[in-house]
Amino acid sequence: MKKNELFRGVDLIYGSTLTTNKNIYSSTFEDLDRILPDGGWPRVGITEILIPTISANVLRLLLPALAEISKKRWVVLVSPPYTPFSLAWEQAGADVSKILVIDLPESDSRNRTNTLWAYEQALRFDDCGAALFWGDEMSTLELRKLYRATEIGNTWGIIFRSAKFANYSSPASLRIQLDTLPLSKCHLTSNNLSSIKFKGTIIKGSSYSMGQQFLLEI
Amino acid sequence: MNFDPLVVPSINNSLSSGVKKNKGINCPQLIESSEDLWVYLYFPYFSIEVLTGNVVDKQPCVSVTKVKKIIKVEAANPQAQVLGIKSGMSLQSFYMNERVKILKRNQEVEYFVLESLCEWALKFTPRISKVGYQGLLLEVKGSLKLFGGIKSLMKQMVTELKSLGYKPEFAVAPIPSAAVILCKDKSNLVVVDKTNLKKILSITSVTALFISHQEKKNLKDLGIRNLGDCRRLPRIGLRERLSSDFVDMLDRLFGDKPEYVEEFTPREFFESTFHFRSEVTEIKSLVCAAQDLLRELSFYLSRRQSRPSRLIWQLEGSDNYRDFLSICCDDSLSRESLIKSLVSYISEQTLAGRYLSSLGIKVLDVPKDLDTRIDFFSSKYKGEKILDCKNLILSLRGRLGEGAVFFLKEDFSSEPEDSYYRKSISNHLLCLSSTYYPERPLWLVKKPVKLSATNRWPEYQGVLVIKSERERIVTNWWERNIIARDYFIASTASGRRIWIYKELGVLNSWYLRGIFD
Repeated sequence: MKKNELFRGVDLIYGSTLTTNKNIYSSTFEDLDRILPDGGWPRVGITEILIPTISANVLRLLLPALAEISKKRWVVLVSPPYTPFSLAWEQAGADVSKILVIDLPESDSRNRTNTLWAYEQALRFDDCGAALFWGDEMSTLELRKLYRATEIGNTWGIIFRSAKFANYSSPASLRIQLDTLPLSKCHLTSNNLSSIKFKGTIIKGSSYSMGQQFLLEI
Repeated sequence: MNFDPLVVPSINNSLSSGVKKNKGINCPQLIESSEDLWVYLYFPYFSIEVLTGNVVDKQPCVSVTKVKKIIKVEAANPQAQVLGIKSGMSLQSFYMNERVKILKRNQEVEYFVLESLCEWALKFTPRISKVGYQGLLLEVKGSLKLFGGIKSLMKQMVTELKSLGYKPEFAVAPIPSAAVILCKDKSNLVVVDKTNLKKILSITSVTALFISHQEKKNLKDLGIRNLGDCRRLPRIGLRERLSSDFVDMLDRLFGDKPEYVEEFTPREFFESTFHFRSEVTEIKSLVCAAQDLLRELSFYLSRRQSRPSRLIWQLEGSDNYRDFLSICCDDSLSRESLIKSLVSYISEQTLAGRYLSSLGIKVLDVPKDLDTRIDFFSSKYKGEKILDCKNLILSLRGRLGEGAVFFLKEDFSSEPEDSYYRKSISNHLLCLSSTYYPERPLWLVKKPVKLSATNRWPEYQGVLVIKSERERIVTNWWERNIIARDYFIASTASGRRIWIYKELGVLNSWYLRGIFD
């Protein structure tokens, strides 16, 4: 092994994926697991996913991991942009009886405060495996409080935010800037199921995963 | 108001007959349960008191507000009530009476004064909540031993409030909303356990509830006089005749459902302004305002166990006059010396015929003793886990409302427009063929969006391209709403895949139902 490769940590990641790491959830995508810190999604801490628009649908990337989590622990969706469809989750292999949705009416003037509070409660919940939150404007202090809540509840917090916050500092342990390729470039498979291409960059993570890019077709 | 919490108004006198005089009700010291105990402090003359303090205590005084071009009385002090003035009267009815002092209600001032009263109440309990513009809820269960029981605690609270120029009414109950209702029905009532509370509430008049006149009329039409009558009615019927919110409110009132109380968060710095009602020329008025501000500051400092490091007096006056006086504080600094320095500064200044309109104070404070501070970020203080799912859901629903929290797997509805309708669609589909599982979108739009159509062809962000075979969904004939639709997967001009349907038998009735990507 060349010295440079060792320092880049490439072989160390391969090594970590050979044995089952209890601190991660496998994304089920080899290419992604290879570059994620510790070889998968973290079990505890905040993962920020920065997307072009808050309604952009990148959930497919996380769905296999979330489906796996729902078999043992709760998955909580806070303030999703649309209403999740239970049949689609079932088709992805999730146990829908373990999925909780928190969605406040838009007319509620205290919507933001209540949503953040609800998300913190979900993160503090001991039996919650993952809590997803579609937020936007969030201060570092708020993110830090949420990070502490993930440590208390041993929960994986996933926050979807607009890509315009990519240059802002954040206490999240993992930050991924994600984009879907123009769908015209994607194709339908023979059984009518479409595939999507995701293009992502890890902008914060462990030293070896920082700056790594991936291209995934799901 | 004669204060004596031990002489709690007899239940038989204060409400209607039917409840025995219970030892637990009249002896507040007998609290043994682990329930919360909420004190509701209500300030009936708050809108007047914030503007006058004790200055015009013996003068008839009213606060007025403009409602739909009519000036109405918001509050009338006891002296004004003797003259026959009541809240809700129009100003014209007593305008000619020169003895009555008329004050324009200022909700902004009320808000800030109530905030400062919250600061004051922190000396009794950390759990405080504001109720409207003129009420405070305090959870005092943990403070009873320290203050020598509820009798002693209430006495201290009322005495201090009187010295501050407020005349509160109060009620004590284990449930916050019940304390509010009891205070409205009959003040100075202390109920310490839920069993007695339920008995008292069941004979409390429905007029004490904070509901609309229409709802009160509906209850009267139904022959309902008190809350016990409401509870005896079938819940489903009550939901239909009144509303779900009403039934939920009753449940919370009787402790059958958890109640969320938004707690007061103290300020992290101190800044307050005294606006003079007329422009000030006399030093005496300035000193009074300065004393008020310093008294408010002392609540803040005692709560934080801190001392001021720098104090800034802010002065504003006519002709855009603005000035400030910054004073570096040390341990030897007293209230008198602060006022003295302000007065001497004003005397030295040449105001050139201008008048002061407001006096403000801004304070930067430092802890009294750094060694005694608690490090909340140490590993010892990590916060609490939520262990039980039921508790989480109760707490979420308590604060956010029933409809805001739901499980993905809920098949209570057979309406296809409902997002969680699995019954009518999925069951039917699965019956078609056990191996046929058409793709479903991850997301549904909250309500189907009607699509425009050109030559009977649907459009959404341009012309749509249908990508799948039609999937017909017809509900069972015995279901209440018969649905007959053809569902399609379609692709927009930008390549985005969506789920649409067409109502069968209706021309151009295309709807967007879900989003795939």
